[in-house]
Amino acid sequence: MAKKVFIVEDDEFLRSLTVKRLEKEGYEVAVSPDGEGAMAGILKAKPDIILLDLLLPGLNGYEVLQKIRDNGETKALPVIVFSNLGQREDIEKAKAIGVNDFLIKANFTLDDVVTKVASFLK
Amino acid sequence: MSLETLLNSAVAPVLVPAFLLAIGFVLGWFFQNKKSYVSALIHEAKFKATQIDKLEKANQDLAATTRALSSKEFELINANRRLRELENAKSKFVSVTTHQLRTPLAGIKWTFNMLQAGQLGVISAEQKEFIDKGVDSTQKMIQIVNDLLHIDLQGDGTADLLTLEPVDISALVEEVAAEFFSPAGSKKINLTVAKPAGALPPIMADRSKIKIALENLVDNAIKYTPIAGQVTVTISDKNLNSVNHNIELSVRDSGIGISPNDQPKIFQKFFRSTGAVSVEPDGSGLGLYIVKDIIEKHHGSVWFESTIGQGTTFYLVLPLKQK
Repeated sequence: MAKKVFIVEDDEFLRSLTVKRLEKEGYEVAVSPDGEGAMAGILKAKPDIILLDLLLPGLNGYEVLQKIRDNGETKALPVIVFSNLGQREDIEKAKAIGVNDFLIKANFTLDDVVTKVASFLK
Repeated sequence: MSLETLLNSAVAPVLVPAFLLAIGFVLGWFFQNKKSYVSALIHEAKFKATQIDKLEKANQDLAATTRALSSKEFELINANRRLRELENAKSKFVSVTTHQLRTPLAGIKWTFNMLQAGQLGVISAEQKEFIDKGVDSTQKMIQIVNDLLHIDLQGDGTADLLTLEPVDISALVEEVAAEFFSPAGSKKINLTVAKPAGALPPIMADRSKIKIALENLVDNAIKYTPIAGQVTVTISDKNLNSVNHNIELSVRDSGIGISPNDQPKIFQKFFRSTGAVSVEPDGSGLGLYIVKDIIEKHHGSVWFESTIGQGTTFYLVLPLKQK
């Protein structure tokens, strides 16, 4: 059965590119365009890994990450944050809540995302 | 002899008028003196009055100056506050724009990457040529955004903080070189790494920052070296002995070189040499400035030797330990 990736990303273009790329790799993909709907979506989709943007309308990525870690069903899921931020304090903050990896948009390619996701799911 | 006998004596007619005369003299002298004493007093009083006037005037001047000073102080405090607000606004502007630029830039980059890799369908050789140029331009823009963000972080002191860890410098150099084999290859430039035979001790450094510095130097070396040139990254342990505890790195290219006129300015923020501009019109002029900043924060040093038309070698010296 195909592994499932859940993407929380508010930018429609980036979201669709990421979805397209991951589906090409044979992953099943579910998405949420905002922080509020993310947790419900994750609980429904039961993904194997989550890609999480930090700057989101409504609930931000840190808050979503906290909810993921606080929930018994999702607390052990690998979470890769990808964000525009990437300053030390942002990374430290995400690490403190319990992020598995941190990618800065524009500094990586979708191939890097694929490699990263594969490394967590092997 | 009593006074009575004296008055009754024969000399009395002489003595009495003489005595009266003497008294007259004394009184005269006394009043004369009294008069000059009074006039002196009046003079002094007048003098003091002028002095008091002058003092009062000076006092008023002083009060006026004090008022002027405190209003200047107020203006200065205000100006300083406005400057700080402006600095914050500038910093916020740079931070917001650079962060916001990253999303669309990532979109462009990812689209090009997918096109380039043929993931969106087969592309012709001509299409690939254009897409490759698109990829290069996007990469340049991303580099500028990253540079600006690095500069901006200096303002708030964030960039001063180093996250120190033991770094295997040979591995880091190999990692950086690996990133540039493809761009070097497309210019037929031979990119090599030379290092001592033995293992080097780890250096305490901020790995990600040293990586940025090395990437900037290797990127420049490839950018400013003509087709089929040579770029060599050398790690040297010659400064590693019982007296010195430094690792020296150098990036040597067979490129265009830096003209003697431009050499003193090469590490300045936003400066670009005329040679560099003619080869590569786009560029932020921040690369070497950032290199110097990063290396100096590690208490290291950076310098170069360059001959126009023959090439440039940049040297970095990094101490093994940070105090």
